[in-house]
Amino acid sequence: MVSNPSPPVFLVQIQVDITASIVQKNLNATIHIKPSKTLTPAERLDIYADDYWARILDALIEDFPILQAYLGEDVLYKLAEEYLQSYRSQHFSLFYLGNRFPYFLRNRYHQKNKKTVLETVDYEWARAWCFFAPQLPLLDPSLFSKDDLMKIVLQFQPHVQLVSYKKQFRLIYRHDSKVQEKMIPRVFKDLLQQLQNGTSLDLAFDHISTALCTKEIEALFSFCIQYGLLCQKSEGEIS
Amino acid sequence: MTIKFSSLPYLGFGLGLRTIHFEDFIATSPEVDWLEIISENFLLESARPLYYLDQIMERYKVVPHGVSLSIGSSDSLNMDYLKRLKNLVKKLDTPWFSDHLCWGSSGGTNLHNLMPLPYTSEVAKYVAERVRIVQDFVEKPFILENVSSYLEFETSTMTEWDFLTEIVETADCGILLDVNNVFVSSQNHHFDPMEYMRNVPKDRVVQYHIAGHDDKGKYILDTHDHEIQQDVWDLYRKTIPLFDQVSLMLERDDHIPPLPDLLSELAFAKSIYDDVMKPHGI
Repeated sequence: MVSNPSPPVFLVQIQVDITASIVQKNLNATIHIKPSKTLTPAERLDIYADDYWARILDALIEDFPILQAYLGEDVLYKLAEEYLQSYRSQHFSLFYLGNRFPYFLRNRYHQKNKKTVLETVDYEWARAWCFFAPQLPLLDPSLFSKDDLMKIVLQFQPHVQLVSYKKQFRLIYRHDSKVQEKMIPRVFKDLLQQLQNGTSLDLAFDHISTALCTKEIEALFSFCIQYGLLCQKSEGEIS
Repeated sequence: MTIKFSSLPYLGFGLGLRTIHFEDFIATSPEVDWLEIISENFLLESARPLYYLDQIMERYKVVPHGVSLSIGSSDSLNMDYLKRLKNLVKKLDTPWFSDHLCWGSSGGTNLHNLMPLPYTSEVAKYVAERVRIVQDFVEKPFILENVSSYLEFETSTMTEWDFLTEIVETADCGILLDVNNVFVSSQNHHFDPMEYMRNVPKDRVVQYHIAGHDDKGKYILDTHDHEIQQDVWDLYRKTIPLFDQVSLMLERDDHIPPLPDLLSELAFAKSIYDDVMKPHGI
């Protein structure tokens, strides 16, 4: 366990004030800043504020090109700015900027086209998340007897996402280090959603749609195994 | 961990490896002495960058350079980040790793920027203590880079070079001397860049960065989106004789040109070095 040294009190105050000024776009932190021969403290602080907003807005919007084309640049940037005011970046990586954007839009976007907007943001975030989500050890069915395989708790790899977009039910996954997707008949939806949450095959099959035939299920599972989409849920994760 | 920074290997003339050039490096293996990566791009589980990194590592020495350690932050060190960084450093078997003398997060909010610190002995002591923790944890020599800055604090009581020196001497770490950053800050804060260069502890400078900037009229912005300007080449030329052999890395982060253009710029940096050092018999 690392013991962090205590920071000087004035350093804490400077950093808190500057962060607040940059994120909230106010000038409170200028009391800490000297003027230069050419710039006032406010102008100096603005250089950092402008850089911050340009960087995080561009990074966020880069993950939502379809939404940008649909809503237009001005509308999306305004929404993105409101979102980033409410949900500040807390991760060292800019990849995570969009992780609450779908949630934000669900609660804060109330236009007539809300359904399309939500479907699009879910779809694009699923693809973004799929790119950098972890990969757990692959499931090797040959290591299990048929009975054991039915009972172990399975789940999808964290990069596998299930979304409905443009009237299609889609399985988004990462294979060969690229984001890919497969259209899946809607009758598989319940089964796949159970797998996403973690379930044993025998429990999943108990609730399976009667519209599915064995051949279809086998084809789906061999696809999932072939593309490494399944893993065994670890003990700690089983609730 | 006690390190003799002057005995770290000389890597030669390197380039910053950026996504746009991954496939070029794999397909054509251009002649570059070494490559520097942005650590954060390889700290997540994302398979694609790692897929390329594995192939590139087979052909080049790769050194990680971070932007998010936030060594000067008043927030606690991010141990999840440090564990990931340690794994990357181990994977690369790198002679050193680097990050910036700055802060980037406060109260959990990440500004994704290289924010300057107030230059006081108290802050230097605090930062040095954190550098020691990081270096001991990662178990590799750590080198700190001077940042470009656009503001100065009322509370500062010392020059940037004295602040940097106090930290590296107290923490026993190395320096990544960014020639462009010294130039940019010298113009923004009106000091002589050679005074900075002359006062940096000679035996701790392990690596140079060199890059382009943008003149905004009232100030200079460190954009890394231009060819290197003549002023920075001149400063580099004058800096070379002050130090021993120092590995150099050319950075370009925006408006990234085709790889051959960067290789020409790197060859130019090498020609300056050769030109300056010839009379010294190196």
